[in-house]
Amino acid sequence: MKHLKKALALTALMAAVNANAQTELTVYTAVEAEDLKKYAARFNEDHPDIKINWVRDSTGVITARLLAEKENPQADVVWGLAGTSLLLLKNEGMLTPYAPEGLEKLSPKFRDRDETPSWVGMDAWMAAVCVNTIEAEKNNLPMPTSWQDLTKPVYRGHVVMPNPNSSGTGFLDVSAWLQLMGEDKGWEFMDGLHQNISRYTHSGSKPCKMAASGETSIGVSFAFRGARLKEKGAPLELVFPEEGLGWEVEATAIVDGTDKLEAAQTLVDWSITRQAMEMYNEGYAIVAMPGVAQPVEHFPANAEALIIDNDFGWAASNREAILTEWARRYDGKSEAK
Amino acid sequence: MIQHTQGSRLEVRGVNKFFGEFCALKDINLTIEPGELVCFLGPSGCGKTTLLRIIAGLEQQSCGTLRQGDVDISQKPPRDRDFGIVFQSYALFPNMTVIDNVAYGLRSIGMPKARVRDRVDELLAVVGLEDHARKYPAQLSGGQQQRVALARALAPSPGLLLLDEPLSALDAKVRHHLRSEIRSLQKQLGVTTIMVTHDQEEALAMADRVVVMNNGVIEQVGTPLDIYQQPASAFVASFIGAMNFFDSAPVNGQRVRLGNRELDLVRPLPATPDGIRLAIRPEDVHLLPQGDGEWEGQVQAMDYLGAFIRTHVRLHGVELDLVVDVDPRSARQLELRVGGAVCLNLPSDALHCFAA
Amino acid sequence: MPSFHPGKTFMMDSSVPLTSPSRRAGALSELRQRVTGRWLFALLLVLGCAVLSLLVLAPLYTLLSKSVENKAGDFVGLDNFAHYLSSGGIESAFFNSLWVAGLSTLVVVGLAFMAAWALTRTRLPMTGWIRGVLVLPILAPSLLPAISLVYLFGNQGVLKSWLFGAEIYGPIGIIMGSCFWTFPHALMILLTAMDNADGRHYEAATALKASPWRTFWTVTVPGARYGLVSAAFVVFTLVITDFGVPKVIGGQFDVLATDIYKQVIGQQKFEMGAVVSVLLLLPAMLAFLADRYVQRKQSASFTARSVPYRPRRDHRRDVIGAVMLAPTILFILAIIGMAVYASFVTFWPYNLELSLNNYQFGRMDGGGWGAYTNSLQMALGTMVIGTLLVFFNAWLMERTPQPRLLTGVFQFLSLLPLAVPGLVLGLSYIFFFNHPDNPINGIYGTLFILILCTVSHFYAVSHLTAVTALKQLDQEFEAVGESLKASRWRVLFTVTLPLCLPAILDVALYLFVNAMTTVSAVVFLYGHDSQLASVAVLNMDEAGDIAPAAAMAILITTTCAAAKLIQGGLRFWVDRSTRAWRQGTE
Repeated sequence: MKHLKKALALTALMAAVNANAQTELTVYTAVEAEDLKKYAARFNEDHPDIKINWVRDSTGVITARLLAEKENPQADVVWGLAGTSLLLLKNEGMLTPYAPEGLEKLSPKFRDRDETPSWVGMDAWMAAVCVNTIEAEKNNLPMPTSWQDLTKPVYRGHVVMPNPNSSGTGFLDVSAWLQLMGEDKGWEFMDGLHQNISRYTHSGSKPCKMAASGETSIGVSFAFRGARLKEKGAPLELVFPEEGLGWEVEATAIVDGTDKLEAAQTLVDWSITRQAMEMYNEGYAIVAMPGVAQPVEHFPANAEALIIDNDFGWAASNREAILTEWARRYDGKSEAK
Repeated sequence: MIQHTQGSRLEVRGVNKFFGEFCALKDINLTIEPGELVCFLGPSGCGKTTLLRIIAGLEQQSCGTLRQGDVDISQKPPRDRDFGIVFQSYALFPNMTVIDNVAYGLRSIGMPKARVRDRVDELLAVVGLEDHARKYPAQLSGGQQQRVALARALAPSPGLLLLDEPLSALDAKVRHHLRSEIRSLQKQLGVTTIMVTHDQEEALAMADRVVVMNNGVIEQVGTPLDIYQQPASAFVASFIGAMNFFDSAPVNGQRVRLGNRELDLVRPLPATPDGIRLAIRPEDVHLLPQGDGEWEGQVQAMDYLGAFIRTHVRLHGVELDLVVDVDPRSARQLELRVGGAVCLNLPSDALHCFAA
Repeated sequence: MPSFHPGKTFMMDSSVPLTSPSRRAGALSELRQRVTGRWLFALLLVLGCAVLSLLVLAPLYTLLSKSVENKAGDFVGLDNFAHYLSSGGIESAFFNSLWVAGLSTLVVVGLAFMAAWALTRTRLPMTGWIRGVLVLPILAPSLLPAISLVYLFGNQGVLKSWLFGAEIYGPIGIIMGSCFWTFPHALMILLTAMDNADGRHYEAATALKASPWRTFWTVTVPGARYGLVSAAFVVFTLVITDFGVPKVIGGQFDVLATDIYKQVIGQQKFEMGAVVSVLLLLPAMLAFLADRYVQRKQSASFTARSVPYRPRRDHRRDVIGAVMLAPTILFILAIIGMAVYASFVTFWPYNLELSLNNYQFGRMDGGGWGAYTNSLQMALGTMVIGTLLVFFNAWLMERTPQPRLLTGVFQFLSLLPLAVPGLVLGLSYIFFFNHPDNPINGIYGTLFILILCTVSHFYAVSHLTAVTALKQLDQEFEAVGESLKASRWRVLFTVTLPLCLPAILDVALYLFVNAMTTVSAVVFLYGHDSQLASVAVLNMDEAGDIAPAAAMAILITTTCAAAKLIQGGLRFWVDRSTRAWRQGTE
């Protein structure tokens, strides 16, 4: 009897300890599924007491989901979502500003400009052009080196890019061109590019995937996807146009109303440690903490120099007008081939 | 040989039925005596099926009362009424054997197994399906299915048996046979029975009394003989059997004018300000040798219908067409032929008179 | 109201002013009677309506009401509509949606009718296997035909030349993909409508010296009329509301459904997504009304007196049947076969070495085997809950006395989910079930809400199948039961259920396989521990892992095929043990 009581007490105690030990965080993310296990494992090396429950989907779906859940948020933390999306959430009052430890070490481009930032950056996710070398050769296409190259008649019908109305990647390209070239020149460039586009896709990674499988010769997409496909054996060459590349910050934020604020803060703290930055660097050439990044295979060594000085505020406030103009110019016309 | 509770008396009082604006039944009053077989007869859409369904409780009357025996059943759901029903489609349960179909109602009321078996055997013997007890409905002929439906309806010994056009789906020979079978079974069991039919021959052959309906009203209730011989309205006269109609005008209380002649009537004239219609059944017309009759005419056509010949005659002077049924022997004696002349009498005791 | 005898189309209309005294009395007794006898069933159907309102109407309202609100939630009338219509492109999207859905409907209903005819009116051998092949598309996740169509007809496609220079990306791809996945839906409805033909009608036609061609047009087609209209309605609505196929293979060909995707996923503009959803409901509503109109005229065609039709031996007709089936079967096998091949290829089209590596889901991301088990649980739950709910409600509606108005409302609620794109339903579920004021918001993020959402999403076709089966039973069964003192419940369990068993098995399978393959709604609802295999397929494809995606798709398809085999086995067993009463032979 005594033994039994002792055993029960012990079990109860252990259960209590366990409960303390395992805080579960629901983390929404758009990070590639293949990286999630790694991210959680690295984090748990330092913080075994916090369990991450991932909910992952593409950027658009996760953003829509977060917004739809506004009345009763399910996520505690967002770890790995586009800065543009986080800006939307911030404007809806859905994020808790928090200045994590080591905030000062981040490049100012990679954090919310508020004094207590609503989000802090992880890495940059940059545009790239995926060129299928086999198809390019078959069609006698020279390797493009700049955005302007893509408007040359030789590429007519060989270029695929994401529709900015459906895809964040697509918008990132359009906004970068407008910033790089100025509004008039930018639209003029897109008019030329439009002549060569064989189709616009709804997904940002699709153009690169299509290039990888030979469905098109050239896909305007983003670097990370191209690099991964290349690793898997796709006959791709990644081109980083010399004028400059659009990019987007991937960032972390605490969702307002979480009842696990402490654990959430721990996670955000960790997400900008040097260790975390080195982890991001395994897949991304540019990370938020200057001086950490090592060259990554398939990425240009001077990645940092290639990306434009992206004005996210400008992009966000002009998004609606840009998309409307884009649809006016290219959506209607796309029917008449 | 088969025990059955006494059939019950059914009273229908002031029943009306509306479907929206449409009046399907208008002020129906009817009493059906215990053990009687009553046919509801009428053209399709006359309301006979609706009335049957109201009696069964499958349809709710808009107003009026129903009494079965001493019980007011007006508001009772079908389950609480005491009747068995056979539909035109039979609605046999196709997934059950003949035995299970017949036993269905017995099991519903929780009859002990052994008694169910006995009762089913008994009924199958009555309808002559002992050999088919374990078959499924789809394995039976139409007539056999009909009998199963009948046995199923009768199994719980209902006080009232309702038959909704039970024979219309069968071929003529089976129909004739089943007609007499149902009639004798019904007499033997003494179960009060209502049968809906549009077949006048069926109604006349089977019913104790016939209820002739048209446009939602009862035109006449009577024995088959009454209905045939003393039709209460022109509709009944024309719907039951064949009838010649002539437009006519009253002269005085017992005389009417037909063409340029006046005829005496045995039956009283209907009190109507308008014209009247004179009617006579084809078999009531007397054909006579030439020169003997009151009327002369010419044979237009002759249809040989086996037991009699339907002869179409045009009367001279009044230019009226008339159908006369004549037996073949008389026809030979009268030397009837198409185009030939003929004389005839319209016996006054056979003349009917209706308001036009 | 099954108690009216067939042929009568008039009904009790409570809106008619009751003027005459007799009618007023009639209304009173009608009321009393309703209270005593029929209230229970009416109440149960009201409950059914309430459940569907909770599962479909209320969530939808939370989303669609945004179409008349601005971002801040203020009422703005029709401003959003005006804005959307003025933004241009709408005409083309609307028109595109209509003609693509219309053409797909024509093709699918035509092919499905030919197939159903060949399966039920000829004596072709191996019809069991043929049926199996023909329903394969419904067993596959929607991405599978997309992958296959690209591999077959894309720029690197093995059959590219068959398109004569046209592109698979665009209307051709949408129509081919839509035809592939909607075909089994149409076939299922038509088979249910045509399986139980009354042999007497055919005997009558033969007796009247009708040629086979004339018999076809005067007996077969009219007999399947209701099924044809229902199938057309279902296919049209499925195609017009689906964004999966147009998104993946439609290129930039604009349709309304992808417009919702653009607004909601691309730009997070819920209010504009709601506007397009409302516009999308219009054609679906029209189709719904047309269906209702035809359905009113339907009455029982198969009674206990009917003789089940068995086609006589006729080689010429069998050959015609085979010819009618061949293109459909070939198309389906080509699509599935290509996907199977794709799942083994190392890197299409540049490294065609075959390997089994793509099937090692444990090593892959996107949920792996855990997602697969979740999917299984979800599908089983959907099957059990859905079949019970669908069949019970359909029975209440068809076989118990119900006020006309109530059945109309219920029919509308049952068919409504068909007109709602999955994406819209999924988002609606977030707004409704995740709301802090919703007392049952605890189910949000669990497997249970996935089950509820999936049941609602696939309610309409299940409902139509159940109703079609129930309509084919003799309308007088319940009346006979009543006269034999049997309650409607007893008739349900002893007659209706056994007779409808094949249809029930069909509904169960339909719900299971759709739950296994569905993506569009559940993508918004799964939680961290309820990831689904079908979503994993999408994610792997998104990540460029086409071969593993194809492999997972094949795994799902195989699971569904296994379910189909089990169901087929059960049906065979049911058929065998009921052959005597179905076919009239011992």
